[in-house]
Amino acid sequence: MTAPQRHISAAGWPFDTVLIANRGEIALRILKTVEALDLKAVVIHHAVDSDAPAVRAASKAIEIKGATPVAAYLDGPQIIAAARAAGAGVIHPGYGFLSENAAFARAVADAGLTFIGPTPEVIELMGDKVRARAFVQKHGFPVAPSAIEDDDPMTFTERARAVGFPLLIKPSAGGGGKGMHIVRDASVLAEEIVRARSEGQRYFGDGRLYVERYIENPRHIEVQVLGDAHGNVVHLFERECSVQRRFQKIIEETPSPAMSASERARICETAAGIARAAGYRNAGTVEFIYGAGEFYFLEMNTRLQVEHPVTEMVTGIDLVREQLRVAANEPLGFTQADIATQGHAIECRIYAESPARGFAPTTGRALKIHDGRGPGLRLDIGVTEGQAITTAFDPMLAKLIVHGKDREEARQRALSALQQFVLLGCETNVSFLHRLVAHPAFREGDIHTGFLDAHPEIASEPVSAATLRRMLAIGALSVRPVRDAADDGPQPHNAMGGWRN
Amino acid sequence: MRAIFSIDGTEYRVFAQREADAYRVHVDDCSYRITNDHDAIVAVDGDTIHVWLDGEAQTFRYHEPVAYYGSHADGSTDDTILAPMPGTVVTVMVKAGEAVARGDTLLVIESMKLETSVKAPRDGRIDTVHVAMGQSFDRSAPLATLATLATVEA
Repeated sequence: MTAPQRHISAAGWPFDTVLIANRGEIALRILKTVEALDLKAVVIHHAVDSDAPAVRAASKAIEIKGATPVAAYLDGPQIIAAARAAGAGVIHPGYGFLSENAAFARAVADAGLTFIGPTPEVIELMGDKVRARAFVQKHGFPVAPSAIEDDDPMTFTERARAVGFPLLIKPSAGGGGKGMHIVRDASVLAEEIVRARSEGQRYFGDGRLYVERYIENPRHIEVQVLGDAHGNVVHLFERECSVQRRFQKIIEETPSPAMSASERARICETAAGIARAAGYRNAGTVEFIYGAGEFYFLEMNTRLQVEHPVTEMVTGIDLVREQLRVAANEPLGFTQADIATQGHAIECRIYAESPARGFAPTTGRALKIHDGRGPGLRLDIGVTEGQAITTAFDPMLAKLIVHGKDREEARQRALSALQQFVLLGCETNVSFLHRLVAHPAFREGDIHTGFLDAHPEIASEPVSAATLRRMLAIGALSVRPVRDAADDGPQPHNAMGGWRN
Repeated sequence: MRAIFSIDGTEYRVFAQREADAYRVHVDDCSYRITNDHDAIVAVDGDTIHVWLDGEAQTFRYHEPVAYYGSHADGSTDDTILAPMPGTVVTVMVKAGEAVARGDTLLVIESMKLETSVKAPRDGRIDTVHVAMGQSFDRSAPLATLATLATVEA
């Protein structure tokens, strides 16, 4: 722990029981902190999750029902009723599901309980991407320069030119990339606008356009912020989450290998400033797009992020503990100056999916799980041996997080941990993650949101035929008829010992 | 007799022999000496064999010789269309007994928020549709079976 942290005695909490309204690895991760603070944890779960680690570990688990498993976890009234029945004073929504649902946050408050997160008004503001962007711009923070034709059609071309190049022309009514044009030179702007308008008309029956600054191979940088109910806001530095597939993050790290100390200070201060302007309370994340020395506000997530552990590793601060303290109306236990980072942390998301088949989700049963051992390793895992892996939920199974004194040490530790991690019974992306972390471009920190498109071989590289045959040779010995045929065949003089079936 | 294993449609012929302090396992034309101190981890689930070795995990299917040779004799395994990935059935376009031509859409499935048409691999007659609208399924689940060519000709 690098930051001084105040301790509240068990008797000092305004609640003694926390309801965890989530599942998988995050339910278990929240449960660990709740119990470490001598509070009681109640976990809700759908029947399909009754064998999940968090449900097994919780002193009390309440089954919730729904037309589908996901519907159960989205059923606010049922969850609030469960919290009341269990005597919970506070609900931790985790991430996903109801975590950014303002109506749920309001209903929790109306029931006399505490929702762990910001106020419903802030959730609503940041949930509306257009309003959020306007709010950030109004407070003087950077958003990507843009021009909207509808604002004043007569001056659109001039205003578009003022945005700067390269820029992207988009149909106002568009979607799915249709009718979008990248313009790199002012001399072709006018003709590209004409072309985009005709395409917009053709595809969407609407020729109105807007333009925004285009960033080539951008990086995704986000900043962890934390606010209390007394107006204090701090940042806990940045995370880089540029390696993505289908706009979902795969690898996150902190600090970003791309930023200078002054850029880091600037982006972190900007994030804290946005949170301060919004009157932000509890943990949140401000996301930016970053490239060519510029960064622009993308959106703010008003909840705990999947990738929060990398921040915890380098700052020594338990973010769930701080969330509970803020929910208990405690002031932050530290100032900005108290927060320092040590070393480098990398998180790899282990998904039930097939990278070689376009990252299609996979299903099965977790027959064997062996987590690796090593210094600086943390594994947040949401499945246990014997548990079915279905398509009912998000395919993320676990997060493998490593901490090292610098990026290279963290990277080596990630490689070693990925090499040792075993999950049998359902195809996962583990060997793909190993190839990714081992890739020379990743080693150099040369990453951007199009990284996997630029290096498709990372996803498609097959196991060598020789390795495959050797694996089959070993596996075949576990098949009774193969083994029996060998044992019944001509015997050598020496008896064999030590074989297990 | 050699045992038959497959991975993603590729078949391997395997047999093992005992040696003094190891097994000699022949996989097609290669042979491997496997001792009991190998670092692999194996999990067997019915006819499915999962093997982990040095950071790689692979799944093999063991084919019972009787079922394997039986099915290949009448060609029926090739006539069942298996799900390419887990998903949900959006529309079923055909009924049992219906004649279809190669390339006809049999059903539409949804996976990863994308709709995909499942098409007939050849001309034939629908023997069974294994799924209904709205039903979800795992990868390799049977979706529809085409009647064998012999039945169609008859």
